[in-house]
This record gives sequence, C-alpha cells and structure tokens, in this order.
Amino acid sequence: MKDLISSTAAKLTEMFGRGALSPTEFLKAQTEFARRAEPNVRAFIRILDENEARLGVADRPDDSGARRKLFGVPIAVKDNLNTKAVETTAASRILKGYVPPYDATVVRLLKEAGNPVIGKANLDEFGMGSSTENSAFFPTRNPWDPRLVPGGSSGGSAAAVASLQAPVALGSDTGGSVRLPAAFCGIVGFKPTYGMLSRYGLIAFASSMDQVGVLARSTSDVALAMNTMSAPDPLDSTCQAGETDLFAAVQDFARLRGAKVGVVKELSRPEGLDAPVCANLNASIDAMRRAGIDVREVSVPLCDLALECYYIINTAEASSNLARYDGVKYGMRMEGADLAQGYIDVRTRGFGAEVKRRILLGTYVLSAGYFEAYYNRARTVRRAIKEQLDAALAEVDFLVSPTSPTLPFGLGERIDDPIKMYLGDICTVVVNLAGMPGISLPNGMSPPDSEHPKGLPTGLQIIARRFDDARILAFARFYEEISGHGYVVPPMVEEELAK
Amino acid sequence: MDATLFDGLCNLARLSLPEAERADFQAKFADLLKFVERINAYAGMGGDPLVQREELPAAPDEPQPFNFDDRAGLSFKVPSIIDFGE
Repeated sequence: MKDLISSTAAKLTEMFGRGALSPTEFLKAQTEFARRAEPNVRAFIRILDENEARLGVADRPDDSGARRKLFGVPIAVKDNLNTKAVETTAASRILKGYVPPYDATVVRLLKEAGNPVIGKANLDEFGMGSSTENSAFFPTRNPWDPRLVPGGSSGGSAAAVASLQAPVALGSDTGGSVRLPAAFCGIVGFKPTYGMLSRYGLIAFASSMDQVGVLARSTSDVALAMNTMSAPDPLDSTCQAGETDLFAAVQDFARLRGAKVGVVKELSRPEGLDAPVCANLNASIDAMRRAGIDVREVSVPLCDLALECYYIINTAEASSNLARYDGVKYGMRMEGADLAQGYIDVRTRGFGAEVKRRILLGTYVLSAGYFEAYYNRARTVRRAIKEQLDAALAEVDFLVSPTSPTLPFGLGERIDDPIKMYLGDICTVVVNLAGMPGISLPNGMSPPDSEHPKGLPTGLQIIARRFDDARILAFARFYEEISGHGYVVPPMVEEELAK
Repeated sequence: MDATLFDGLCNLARLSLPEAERADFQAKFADLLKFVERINAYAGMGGDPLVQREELPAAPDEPQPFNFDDRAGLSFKVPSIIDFGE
C-alpha cells in the first residue's frame, strides 16, 4: 500500500478502472495515512470518517462523457468550499458550527464522478493570507520543514498533497493562493481562467478574482480533475466552461509546435528575489531553449503597480462580501444589548486581525471621499494591466516568471508585517487581475544544507491567454518532461512512509 | 493616523476594536494606506476602469439605520418585503 499512497491520481484511476484496486480499499488506506501524518503537518481542519467521506459519492464510474475523469480518487477540499452536511468554516471563528445544506458545484461534480472527500483543508481565514498562519484554528506546517510556512491561502490543500495525505486537492486562488503554496510545497498548482470552473458554493472573498483551483503531484492529475469539474453551471453566471478534454490535451504536444515564451522582466527580478529562485528560473529558461522553444524577454511595465491595485480591489470586494456575517444567518451568534450592538460584537469577536484590517481598508477605499482616488483608480490600472498582458501574449504564447520571489519562510517571520507578507504575492496577482490561467510547477530545489538535505522547492509560474487552459496544461506537461523536475517526496514524509 | 477617521471606519464596518489592540491596528493600517497610496503614481495617465464606466452615485458614509426593531422573544421581527396594503 506504501507505493499506492505515493501514486499519481492518473495511475490510481487506471487501476480502479481495470479492477486491480478498489476505491473503498484505497480510501481506507489513504485516510489511515492522512491521520498518521497529520500531527506533523496539520493540513486539515477535519479529516472525515469513511461514511462522511462517501456521502453522496457515486459508486461506479460516470460513463456519460467520453472524457477521462477522476473516478475513485479521494480529494482534499479547502474549507471555504461548501460540503453538504459537513461543517465548513473558511477557517474563521465567525463560521464555526456552520453546516451547509448543499455542496459547492465543483464538489458535487466530483462526488457524482465517484470522488470521496477525505477532509476539509486548512486555510488563511476566508483566503486572506499567504502563509496559512491566519487560520483561526492553527497554522499548517510545510512538509519540507515544519518550522516553515506552506504558503497560502490554500496551504492546507498544498501540504496535504505534498505530504501524501491526498492525491489531489481543491483550493481557491484570488491572488496566488493555489500557486504560491504549490511552489512552497513542491507540487503543481493550477488556477484556471476566471469562469472555467463554477464558483457556486465557494465562500466569497473578492468575487471578481476568486477562482477554484487544483493542486496535485503532476499536470496530468490536474487535467483529470479539471475534466471532472469543468462544466457549465446555471448557478454561476460567470461560468463559461467548455467541453475540452484537458487530459487528452496534455498528452498532445503537437499543439505546442512553434510556441514562443516570454520571460516577464518586471516579475523576474522583483525586490528581495532569493538567489536559488533566480538560478532555477534561469535553468528553466535554458531547458526550454535546449528543447527548441523560442524564449525572449517581454516587458509589462504596470506589473510594478499590480500589488497595490490588487490590494485595493480585493479589500473593497472583501468589505462588501463579508458584510453578510452579522451573527444572524450563519455561525457565531451573540446577544447584544440591541441588534446593532449584536452585529458589532459578533464581527469584532468572530473575525481575525487580518480580516478586520482588510475590511477596514476596503471600507476606506470605497468611502465617498476616497472612492475616486483609490478604488476607481485601481480599476483603471487593472484595465491597463490586462491590456499590457494581452499585448505581451499577442507576441508570445506563454509568459513565465518565478511563482514566489522567495523560498518558504519561517512560521511567525512575517505575521506582524502585513506589507512584507503581501510582497510574497508580487508575481501571482497579475494573473487574477486579468482573469488569465496560471500554473505553478516544481522547477528545482535550493542547494542542500545541513537542515535541508534535499534543499527546498521552488516554483515556475506559466501564464497564458484567457481560455487557453488546454494549451497551458499541455505546455506545463511538456516542461515537466524536458526539465525532469517534478514532485519529490519530502524527507519527513519518507520517514512516515517507512514506519 | 487620525483617530476620528479610524473610529468612523470602524463604525461603518461594524467593528469595535478593544483598546489593547487599537494602537497596533492603527499603526499597521497607516502603513497599509501608505502602501496603496502608490496607486496614485498612475494619476493622469487616463483610461477607463475595467468595468462600469459610468459614475456611480455615492451614498453618504453613514451606517444605515436598522429598520426592524420589533422583537419577539430572542428573535427580531423582519418587516414584510411586499406591502399588501393592509
């Protein structure tokens, strides 16, 4: 069973398909291992028991479509995606005890395709953070070194996949929340085009940028999950999913013939770039050139203002979206002297510091006196960034940059300095501002040292045109092949497997 | 940062920060404002916002009053959405 735990989802579905292994047998083994590994990683707010995990899950493969799907593979689900009859908290005290009466569309589609939910993964409260330290419950640890953060906000999902607690996980990505933890944990993290997956049942943070994403140990596994979840949804008017077979697409390198790649100048040399990140980016570019890809430098000057623009828009939308948490409809409830005081008491006690900071900043930039100077200006900059990225992607097929300017940092190292924390998102936010697809792939390790005998992982970010999801996944798989980089089992997990 | 402005924002956002947290919060909030202020480097370069080009009328920065003050035990009576013209 040890080998099976570290298998890719593609291999598992193939084994389930020919009857060499039963999904029930695998779920049992996977859950057992997840529980064993959990004290070191703390990836989950809750690991489900077998009955809960299988609630509403189809017991035979969905043969309605021709596309290969993810039948039988257990999925970790970020705890800001609604799961019917299973508590969903978004890692916030204000939602403690909230049990949704319905599944998010992406969760429903996975269950209908036979995928049990192994557990609800930890996150920064409402997705607001880059380290998973902003969870109201506990911080998640990086499987490469438990003294380091796993990235965020989908840090629980990334740590679960990297520590072999789940083969595939769902996350959400508003400004890099799937790609950044994927880079810090040494796995693949995909943020599809805005609109490729339904957001129905995803607890809203910043609706114009929120997108469900996938974390896995290979690009092929990401494509299998996307095949399962990518479907039109009348419950989300922004959902424009098509019928492309993404798993078939990633096997087809012919569609990459003549592809050109642009290295984004402004994202490749950001302030505070760590030397191993820079070295691995250069090695990735060399590998592409050796494989015959035309790689050139492109400039997107407004990337320099992307972070400020992102933090104005996300806080504005968050302050509006989070106005619904008043202690009446969901979760925490307190009796105040009157209704108004009850609202204030619940929100003050229920929200954590980072959420309160963002609500206040959002309230400020939306207030009558400052709307024009901040919110409207940020929306104008957003349009200009999108136009500059479109222009760059008219010249080349893909843009590349590091996913994070730094290696994973220490727990507690940035928690008291919000600006320093925000700077970690500098390479990823442009993708969300422009609604484009982006993926982070393992692209090597830092040099080994006495504390990290295999080094620490770094990530390469690839960006493509909107709705070019099939091509970006094909290019990602091509990169996996030419670079030889991919998922590596962290030493701490190897020890657990050996027990 | 100006304490009156900060109190006004807390009031609009329906938050009340305990005295012990206030100073730290205000200091970090002032840093955040300095950070987002950089967006004004784009001033005067023109262009339209990504969505909703038209001017939106701004409501006054005042918390709206609650209009359901009637209580029935622990519950609040919510006014009818449709007026049936009793």
